[in-house]
Amino acid sequence: MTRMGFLLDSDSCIGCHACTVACKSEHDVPLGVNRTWVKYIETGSFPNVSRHFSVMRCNQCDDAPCMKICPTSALYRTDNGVVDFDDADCIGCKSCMNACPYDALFINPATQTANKCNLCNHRLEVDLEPSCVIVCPTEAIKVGDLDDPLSEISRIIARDDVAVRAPEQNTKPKVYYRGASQASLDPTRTAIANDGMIWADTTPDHPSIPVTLSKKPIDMDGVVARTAYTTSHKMTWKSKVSGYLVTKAIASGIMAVAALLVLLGHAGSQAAVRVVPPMAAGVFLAITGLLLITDLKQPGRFHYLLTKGNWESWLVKGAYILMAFAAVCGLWLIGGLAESTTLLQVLAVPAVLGALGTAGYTAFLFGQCEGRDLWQTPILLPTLLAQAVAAGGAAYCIADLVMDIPGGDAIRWVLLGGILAVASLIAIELTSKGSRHVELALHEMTHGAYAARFWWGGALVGLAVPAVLTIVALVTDSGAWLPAVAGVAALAGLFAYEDAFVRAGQSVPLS
Amino acid sequence: MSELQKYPPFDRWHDWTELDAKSWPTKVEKNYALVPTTCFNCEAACGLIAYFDKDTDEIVKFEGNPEHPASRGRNCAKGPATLNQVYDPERVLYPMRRVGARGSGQWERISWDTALEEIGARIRTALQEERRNEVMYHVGRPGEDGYAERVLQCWGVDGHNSHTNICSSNARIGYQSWMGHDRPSSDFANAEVIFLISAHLEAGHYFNPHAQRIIEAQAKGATIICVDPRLSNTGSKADHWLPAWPGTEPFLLLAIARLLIESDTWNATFVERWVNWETYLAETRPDLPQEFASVRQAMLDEYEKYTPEEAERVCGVPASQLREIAEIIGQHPTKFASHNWRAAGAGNLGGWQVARCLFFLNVLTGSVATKGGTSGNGWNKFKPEHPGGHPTGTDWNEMSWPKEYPLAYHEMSILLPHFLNEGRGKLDTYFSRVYNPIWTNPDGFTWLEALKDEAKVACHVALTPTWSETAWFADYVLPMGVAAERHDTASFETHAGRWIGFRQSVFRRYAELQGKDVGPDARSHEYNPGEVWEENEFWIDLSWKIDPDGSMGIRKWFESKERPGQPVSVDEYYGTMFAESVPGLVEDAAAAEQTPLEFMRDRGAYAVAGDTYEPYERAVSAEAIADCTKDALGSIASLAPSGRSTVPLSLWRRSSSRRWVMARLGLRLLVR
Repeated sequence: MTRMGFLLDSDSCIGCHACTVACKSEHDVPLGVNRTWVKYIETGSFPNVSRHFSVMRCNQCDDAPCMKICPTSALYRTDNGVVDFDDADCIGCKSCMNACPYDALFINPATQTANKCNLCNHRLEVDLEPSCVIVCPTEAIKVGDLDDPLSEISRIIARDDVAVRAPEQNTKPKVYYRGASQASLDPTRTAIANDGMIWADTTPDHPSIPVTLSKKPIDMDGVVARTAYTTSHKMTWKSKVSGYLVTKAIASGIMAVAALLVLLGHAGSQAAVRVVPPMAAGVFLAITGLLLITDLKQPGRFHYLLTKGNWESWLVKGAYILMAFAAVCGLWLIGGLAESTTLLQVLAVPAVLGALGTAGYTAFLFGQCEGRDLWQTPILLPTLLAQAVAAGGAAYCIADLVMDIPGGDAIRWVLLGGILAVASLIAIELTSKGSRHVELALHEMTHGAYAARFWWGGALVGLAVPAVLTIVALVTDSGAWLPAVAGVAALAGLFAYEDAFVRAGQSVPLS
Repeated sequence: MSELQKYPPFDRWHDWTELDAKSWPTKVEKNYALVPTTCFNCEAACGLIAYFDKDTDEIVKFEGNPEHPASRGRNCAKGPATLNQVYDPERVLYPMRRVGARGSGQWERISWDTALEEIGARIRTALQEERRNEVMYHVGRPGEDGYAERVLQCWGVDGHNSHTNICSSNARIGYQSWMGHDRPSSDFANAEVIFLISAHLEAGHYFNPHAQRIIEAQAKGATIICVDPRLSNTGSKADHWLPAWPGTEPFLLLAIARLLIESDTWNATFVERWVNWETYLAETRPDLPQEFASVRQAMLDEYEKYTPEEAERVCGVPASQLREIAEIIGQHPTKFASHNWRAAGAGNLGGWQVARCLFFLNVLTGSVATKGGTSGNGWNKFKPEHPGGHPTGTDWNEMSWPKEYPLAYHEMSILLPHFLNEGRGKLDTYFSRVYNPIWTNPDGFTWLEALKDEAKVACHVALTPTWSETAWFADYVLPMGVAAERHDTASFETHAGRWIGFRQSVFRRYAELQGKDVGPDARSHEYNPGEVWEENEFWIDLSWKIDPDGSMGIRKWFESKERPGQPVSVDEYYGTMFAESVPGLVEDAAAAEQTPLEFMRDRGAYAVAGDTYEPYERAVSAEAIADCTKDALGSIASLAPSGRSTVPLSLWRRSSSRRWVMARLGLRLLVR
């Protein structure tokens, strides 16, 4: 076998950026994005101070998270072990950018597809070294076959002190560093200082860990050096993804509650069980799909999910789950219109399964995002399910204003139960110990840029207010208004929480 | 897997196929013609190869030229970025003439013929009216070796002006004072100790060729010492970064010198043989026995106050670190490569002492032109003769060489706008080229004031590939080519070796390779983007416009030998140069069954053979020292160049091979 890799020799690297520019020239990479770049960090304080260089790029992982999550296999492995890509297949879902723990991928503004270093595979094909290798004044970039024990890079890796980035992600990277400062390979150990970088502006798209360097360069927050130069990386998944989490929670929650009502013997309720739930769920599923498609950089290619689907990707699995759930909703509506209690009783189980799948599959999708440790928490699945329960309860409590919901206080108990479960799970999430990456993300969520969204939106409006209102309603039996307000608050708060969670997960720098 | 290559094999450069990067993974073959040229984004003159797409006739990229002895196929970021210059949407593509008030930004496109006619007529009148000093060519980055200077000599004007006095002049005079060579040529690749007062791993002359060799030496175990008040990348990579207080570098260097002498790790043998210590003792220590044994004591006395502790106080660098460094230097006699270009030399009053004290360490360690040491630029820089010869001028332009500054080492270009503003003189035709003083000089507004006033500068011609603050205040903006669009030769002292690089209009060469008839009357602008000219042809054609009938005696210097009555072509010009004054090229070209010009057009650079180490050990012919005098102490000095018995020091510029002897320590005679 051939397994092509790079050896990036920080011992020899002088930080001149020739590789960056040669790569841009070879691949016509637009302004603002990079297939490769040279990161500078500075350690120490004057006069015991130094600057370290490390070249950042795709790691050509043997176990590549980007390939797994790519819904259309636009990212694929070639015979020489390189992780390559095909612009023609990319739908621009940006999931690879969250799957990659190395910040290697970006959306090319010219093609609106995800690009990265492909080790100049088009040059390897004609037996030429990559353009960054040949331009380097100090021959600090070496390319070769890691499976050939006699290749120069195999010999260096075998004998010298080399390191890889983010080994804890188990991606089996094929880019090795010699002589690199550990701090320069671990983006959570450096930060952009208050006075910015050198020779470059710092933009909001430069992720930096949420600490500031004051007088001491070595900060108690575990920062051991300052990031002196790096490139910006735009956040990829934002409100549309937060919104999609809410809309599919509502859809699945509604159907789950409807199924519960069927099992409680209320299958005969024409509006509240038979017809409105599948219609409402259908509407929210449609919104879910719309959010997903409009979030694509290539929305016109959304059908590639089906025609070029990669079954390893939870984006593809999710698409089929959503379609299956939509089908169940459709059958439910048919059964409801046909006033067939039997059919609804038969459909109750697939409806619950579909709801579970729809609400919960995102935990596995986020789990494939190896670059976002916050999202990989095992608590995410139960949290999503609990959120769906709460959302279902909320939706029914709102509907209670305009229609007759059977089952007495059942929907209020569902709402309250869902809220309490979500609150408990979030509390566990906040108090459990995670990796440094997780702790930084949690810090950003609860004390950083998203603290207001989290506390005022997610915790107060989303959990405390509806919980109190529902309890008051249950205790005082005060009618439909209080639970309806609780439902609206719960859904609004759910969005605020999801938005904080989605963004905080992407706030930790990967490079 | 087959062996990967760095570059296409030379024999396939004219017909090379790669796969298109943007179409990948679809395999779309692209057929290229590879045409070499020389980078023009700093003075280092590294090799580049233009990749011409034969389908579109456009350059798709620039890569390094593996045939280039200095850059060895590698480049810095500026090399491949040449592509952006060629296809810069904002570049000037056509000759422009001012129509509104100067600086108003109103221009009209004119033909090159009009531009040449009008400018030629001006200069013709100025020369005929004996206003020769009103014609000035002010160059920032020359990027070529001697072409423009010859043009001015052929016009009979002392009109060359430079930016050197705000740049490298200080360091140059520091070196010149030692050995007659005004720049160091450091053999970094073979050095064991590298001492940099500069940032050669990211900037400076000659960044890319130097950086590769410095890191190569470091990988082999050399110690790198960098003096730089900033934490430069070079300082970061150095084993010892010495952030001496700006301006205190000579003190630091003399403290190291003192430590070397004190510990007897200096190379007394070299100093005794090659340094004019007799003059030194006679002039400074007549009280001591006039024998070499006294030199050690004389120097220790002279440098008594330069202790490591005092250096720590003055420079802010720990005394212990200086001791460690002096010990390392002392352990590696003859393998000490040092370099200063601008940095502390340019940045301080009296900065010339930085280079002077730095080279003192080379002299003390005997690492002068040794393997791993520091040579004089003249020993490694190869400069071919420009064909056709030139007359020797007799004019003296006091606007650049004011007599109140007899020690000026280069044109006092900084004073030009002040002289114009105070009415000391005026300029009739002022060419600015790769020079933007309004922006880059410290007193840009003074330049602005002078350049705006037509009474001071009657006509300003900006020769430039792109707009600049200075070009904005020109009367003619004439687009001149970037690295891919012009002919020049360049050669620099990048390492222990000599070479010549050939820059060419790759568009013109590509046309030739594609079978187009590029005859002797062809002009590069016919092939370049827009109507972008090259200066070589501009000067030839302008000279013909100045002297259309040859009556002024100018035209003949730019006339074709092969085709009398016609302007010389660049093919003829460089064909002659390569055939007549590049040793070994004729033979190597013949072996490749090519003319020397074709050989250079195909390869872009040529390594000139010859051992470059310790040239001073070679025997000197009687003829070579015929104009030299020897004083009673055995030191040798040369006379002025032919025709002048006494000249001010500023005339050094006329011949950088002039040798002189310092009253204090200086090398005896290092014959080029």
